Amino acid sequence: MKPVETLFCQIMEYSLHSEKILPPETKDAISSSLPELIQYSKRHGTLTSLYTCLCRLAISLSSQEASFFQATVTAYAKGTYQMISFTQKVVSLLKQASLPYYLLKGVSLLSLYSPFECRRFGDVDILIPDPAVRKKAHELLLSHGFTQISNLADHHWEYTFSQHGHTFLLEVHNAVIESQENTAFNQTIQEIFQKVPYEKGYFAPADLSFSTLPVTYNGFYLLLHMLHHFLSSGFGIKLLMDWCLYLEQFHSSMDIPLFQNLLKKTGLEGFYSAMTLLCKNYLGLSKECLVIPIQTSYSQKYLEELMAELLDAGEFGTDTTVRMPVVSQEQRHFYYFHQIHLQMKHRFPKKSHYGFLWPFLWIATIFCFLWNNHFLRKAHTKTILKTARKRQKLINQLKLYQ
Amino acid sequence: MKANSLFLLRKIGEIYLIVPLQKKEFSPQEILTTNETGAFLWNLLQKECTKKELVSAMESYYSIDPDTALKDIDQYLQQLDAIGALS
Repeated sequence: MKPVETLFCQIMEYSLHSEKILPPETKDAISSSLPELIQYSKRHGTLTSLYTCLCRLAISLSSQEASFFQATVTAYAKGTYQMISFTQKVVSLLKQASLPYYLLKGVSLLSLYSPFECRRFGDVDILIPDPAVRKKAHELLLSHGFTQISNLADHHWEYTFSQHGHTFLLEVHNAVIESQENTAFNQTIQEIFQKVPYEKGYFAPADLSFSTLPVTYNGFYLLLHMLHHFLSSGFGIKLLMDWCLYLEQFHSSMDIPLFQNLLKKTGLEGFYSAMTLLCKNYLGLSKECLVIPIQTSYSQKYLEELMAELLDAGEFGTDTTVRMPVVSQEQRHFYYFHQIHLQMKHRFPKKSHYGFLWPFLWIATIFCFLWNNHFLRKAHTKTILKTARKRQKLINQLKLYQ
Repeated sequence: MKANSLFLLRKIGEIYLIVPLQKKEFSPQEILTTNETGAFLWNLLQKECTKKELVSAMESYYSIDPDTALKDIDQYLQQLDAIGALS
């Protein structure tokens, strides 16, 4: 890891823990590396966290930097307030219609942060596993001005809603994450979330009551969400910060045998161990919060490479380098073929209805991928594949689904 | 006059915002960006108080003359009123 990356992690750790004290030399290092740290925070969606740290440390800012923070942090905060208001609208509609749902992430995570504006979110995610209820919710949303939009994902439907000149995005999930390449894993996930009790959640600043997953399942969901993004194109430090704070806040109320059983059933013990160790090493997760034993040990070198990979990905892997999904095991050829097939359907929605055209459309899709890499993304396909291979090696050590 | 209880003061670093978070629906135009003085006055407005009391509190806390304080307070109260933050 580069020194600035280590410094960035130290600041994020400091932002999560109000009791933490930074040594004076770190403060000096922050001042001298501020432009780079701003770039890192922008890429990871943690600019507000950086700003609150700078204020806590009383680091003097140039007038340009001060204006930048003032404008950006205010805009981000207003965005968060609007998302809270939109969440209020969605859950009120579902409540009035007596439709059971689970609110995922979003508002349910805000209370972990202080101030809550440090956690930005761009959409509202609702899980409705029952198809009949989902259909009713679909009709309800359409009748209240929501518009369904097409999307590639197989685990949620997307809706937009326009209000006060802003368009909001709602995702109604039928499953917690997109299907992975391992069928048995998908089946287990589906079964786990089929009969989960509903738990009441409350976000006091907005007097917002909602229905969500119980603590243990919610923790497991956060892990799955990280996994999903990790395999797609990576995720940044934000989801790791969620996980760190979640363990700190809820470690004593989690059902440990149940959580261990969920990890065992899905073969995610390695992933859990790695992510939790990253929180411990880089975000200051205290030992007392490690109530779920770490069963897989990883070398310091491996953890450092993994952390560097997360930092390189930026928020949801959509950052500096063009990334492609990676998979965990031997079914990868089938998986990539499946991805090409999905992209083909997305790119040629009408023509893809005719099966006899598929071989031509697959070739056209691959051609478009190469063309876009070269001319639009200005990235070498070779570099993309090299990054994917590197990530593949890291993923292999996680022994997913085993 | 008194602050509308549906509005909350939020502090993010050195940024202060007055937000109708407790309202079921609100528009971005109802959010007011303010400063430390605005936050100070907002805290006073959590209890019923008069303009005279606000001026006097500001005078003694910030050691400014009553005319400047009154001018600033008038402007601030207008802004609060415009977004419905006063009850």
